[in-house]
Amino acid sequence: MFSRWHQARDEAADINVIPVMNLFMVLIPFLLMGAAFYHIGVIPVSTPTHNPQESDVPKTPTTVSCNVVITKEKVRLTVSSVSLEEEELETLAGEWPVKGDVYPIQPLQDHLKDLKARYPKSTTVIVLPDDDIAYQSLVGVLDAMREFQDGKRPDGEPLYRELFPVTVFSRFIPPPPDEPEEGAEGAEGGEGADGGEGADGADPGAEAPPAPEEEAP
Amino acid sequence: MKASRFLNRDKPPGLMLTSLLDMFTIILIFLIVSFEAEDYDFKLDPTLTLPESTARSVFKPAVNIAITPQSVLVDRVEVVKLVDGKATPEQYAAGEIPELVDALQKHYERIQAEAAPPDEAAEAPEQADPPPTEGDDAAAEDEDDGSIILVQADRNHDYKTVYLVLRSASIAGFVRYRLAILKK
Repeated sequence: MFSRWHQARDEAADINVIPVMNLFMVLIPFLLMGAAFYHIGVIPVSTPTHNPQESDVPKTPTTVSCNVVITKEKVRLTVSSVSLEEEELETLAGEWPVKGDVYPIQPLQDHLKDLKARYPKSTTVIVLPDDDIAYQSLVGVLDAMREFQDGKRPDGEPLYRELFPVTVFSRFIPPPPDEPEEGAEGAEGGEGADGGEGADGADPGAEAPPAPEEEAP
Repeated sequence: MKASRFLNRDKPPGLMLTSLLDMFTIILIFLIVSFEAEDYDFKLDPTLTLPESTARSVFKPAVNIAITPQSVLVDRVEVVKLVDGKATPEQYAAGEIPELVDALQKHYERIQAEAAPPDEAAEAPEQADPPPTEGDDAAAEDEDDGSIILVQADRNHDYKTVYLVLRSASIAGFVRYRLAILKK
């Protein structure tokens, strides 16, 4: 009786974990191969499409379109709209210097917040960076223009609010050497060399940004 | 001492696997969580470093263009070589990379053919609809046809090169892009 009890106790103490270990040894390399140690996201953007009948100036009176020129010296924001007067558009514009390699993200974002508060249905920003602007710097400015963090949710997660999520990339055409400097700036079109008149200033001309891609919830 | 050793002679020495099992369990849980967040069939080019961003848009598969310091690849096939991440002056002057346009046009035609229903595709030459006047409507129709480019570009590239690639894609028919970023 006692010996049977002793034998049963010894058997219960030895759990054979070797099969479990074998299973783990197979599973772990498999999962290691498929594991994502970085998380990839995307920024939806577009380029202008040339359409002579269309203009990217918003048709509805309650929306504006922002044009952001990014150089190594400054970030300049201008606004275009069909319903606002030139003087009013100039008051909505802004310019901030780049200090060293630090782009004026916060003042630009604050300015865009004000614009969004005044014209809440506005979504489009046309970006005109200099040729030698680094891609990382550009993405940093895009982040500031697309959305901002506005406190936290009840569950502790950050709450983001949309600013101007529809980003259109464009580019200056260098002014011809024989033409005067004034009015020579223009934005290159998306199709061929017959691009629009210019995405800078209050009248971007015939550049029509395509519809925005769907956003993540 | 000798007596106990004698008594346990028939029993093989036990290996303490419990702590090892605990460790494996933790690793397994971590890997399963990481596996859940895996991003489709995305293969990050090892020669480039994506920019970091706070963008929260989710990754979706698309025609993949990688702009590395050495070359431009379309779906992992090298299309054109770059020198220190820059194209040739002729390509910048032309505003396009002809080899890239050709490669992307093939992708675009394939995507359009796949997106169109077979009967519609057969009737397409006869019933050519006029182009839509509203750009938004046209884009909305194309929204799910897959004609979107996913651009992987190194964070140190200049805008000139990135825009040259985007413009080449635009000439090939693609007008909407997703810039791949590393989430902060």
